[in-house]
Amino acid sequence: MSIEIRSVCCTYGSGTPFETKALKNISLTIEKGEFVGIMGRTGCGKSTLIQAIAGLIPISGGQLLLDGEDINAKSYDRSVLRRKLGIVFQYPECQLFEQTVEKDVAFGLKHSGLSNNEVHDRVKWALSVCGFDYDKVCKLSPLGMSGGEKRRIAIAGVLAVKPEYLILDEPIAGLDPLGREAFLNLVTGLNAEGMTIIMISHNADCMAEYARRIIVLDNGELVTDGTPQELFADADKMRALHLGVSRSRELGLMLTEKGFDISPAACTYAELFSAVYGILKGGGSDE
Amino acid sequence: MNERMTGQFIPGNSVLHRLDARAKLICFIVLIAVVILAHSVIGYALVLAFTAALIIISKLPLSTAIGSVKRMFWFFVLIFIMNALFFSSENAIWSWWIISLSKDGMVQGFNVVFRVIVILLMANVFTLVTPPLETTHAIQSLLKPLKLVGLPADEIAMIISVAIQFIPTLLQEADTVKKAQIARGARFESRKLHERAAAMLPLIVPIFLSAFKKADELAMAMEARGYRGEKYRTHRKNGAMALGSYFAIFICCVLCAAEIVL
Repeated sequence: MSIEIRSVCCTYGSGTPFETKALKNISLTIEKGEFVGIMGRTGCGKSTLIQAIAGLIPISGGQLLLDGEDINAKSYDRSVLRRKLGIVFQYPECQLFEQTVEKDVAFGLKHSGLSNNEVHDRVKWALSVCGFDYDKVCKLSPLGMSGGEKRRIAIAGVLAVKPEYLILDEPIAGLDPLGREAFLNLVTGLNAEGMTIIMISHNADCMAEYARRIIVLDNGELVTDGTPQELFADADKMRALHLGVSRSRELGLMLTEKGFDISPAACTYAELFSAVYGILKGGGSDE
Repeated sequence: MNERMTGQFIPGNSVLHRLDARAKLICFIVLIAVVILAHSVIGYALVLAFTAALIIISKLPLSTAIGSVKRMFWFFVLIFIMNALFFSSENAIWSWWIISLSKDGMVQGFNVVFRVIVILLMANVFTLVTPPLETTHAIQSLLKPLKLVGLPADEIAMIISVAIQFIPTLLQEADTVKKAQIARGARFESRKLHERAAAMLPLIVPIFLSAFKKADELAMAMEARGYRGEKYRTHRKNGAMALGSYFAIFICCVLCAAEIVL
């Protein structure tokens, strides 16, 4: 049960003077239940990679296997892919179109073959997961809501399908700090229930805190693949990739420069806190 | 969205690329007249040779230059058949009910299809070698005389250039929305017509909404940058046309005269 990416290549505008290779021979496996972050500077191929995984763009080489089945094979039933894999695009609020919130969230379930009652339950569940009171919002127009609310409605529309794999493209861009935290907690909760999360973000802090594994792309190639701790330990490399490190790691580096012994693996707030706490405690007993 | 549209400008350095856009536009209008005036076999051959010459000196890949025609192949077949079957009921070779196949109809069908194809090819070459902004400037300067009768030529050119610049943005938006809806389970490939029409709704509503929003934002951005109407704007290229431009127009006029004679 995994997403297997086997030496996938992706070329735009092949045969024209504008040919660009967006993905060059990418190979990696994402196991079920993982929380994977994808980082990389603008134009490095992140969005191309997730769209290829979701079967939305053709690949020019390699294979993409979802639970062992090639999604680009002619015999493959794409509706299985749609049911198993949900994708939330950047600014998903742009995809809302129905007259009521209820209809919009239920849109993805139209061809699912579920009974009306089941659809109703799913919509109710998805809306409550995204922090809405079903009875209050179901008859409202999604187009008249605020930006943050619209985004949550759109995400509820993707969650209603109950995908096993959820892909998020820059989901926290433009959210306020509280909305960001609420959203990331929601995603972590879904991950704890077994949903595989693949998330693109430029935000090193959120990656350090939430992702369990980070993949870094640069210029269409896979550069690094490891835990946030491994990745942010090499601060120079992350800076060279124009990504930077989390603020906690930044602070850790500053303290190291001042002569404190902070582990390079401390990249989250909690890790840094316990490292500093250890030094303070140790220092206290010495005196 | 990384697919290119047929007829989208391709940068280059051929004679046609360098020719003044105003001259290209005038030539194009004259050439439309040439195509319509052609009525004999020699006339057709001349038009075809000239079009081929245009494609060769534009240095465009052949597949790009004739792309728009290839795409509309079935449209041309349909036009030919309609003309052949419905044009006249006299001298019919074969007829049944309201359908009558006639030689006149076939000739008429050929004429129409030939002219549309050639004009389409020329239009395609024109847009492939001319940046859209230069085209709108050309329209602007060619419409200038009409300002005397109160036509807001500058504003018209501005509207056209804004519209042209929004095409790639909107296409990209449409592509993103389409992918998002497909990922949510929308089915655009249904065979039933009413299902397909209904499937367009999740595309049309978001795209219209964003188009209106973008238009609003653009208007505000333009005002913020001091746009007060075309009256106050100056353009980088305002000079007179070079000698080569007049020569190009002259060639087209000669061709036009030739078609009238032939």
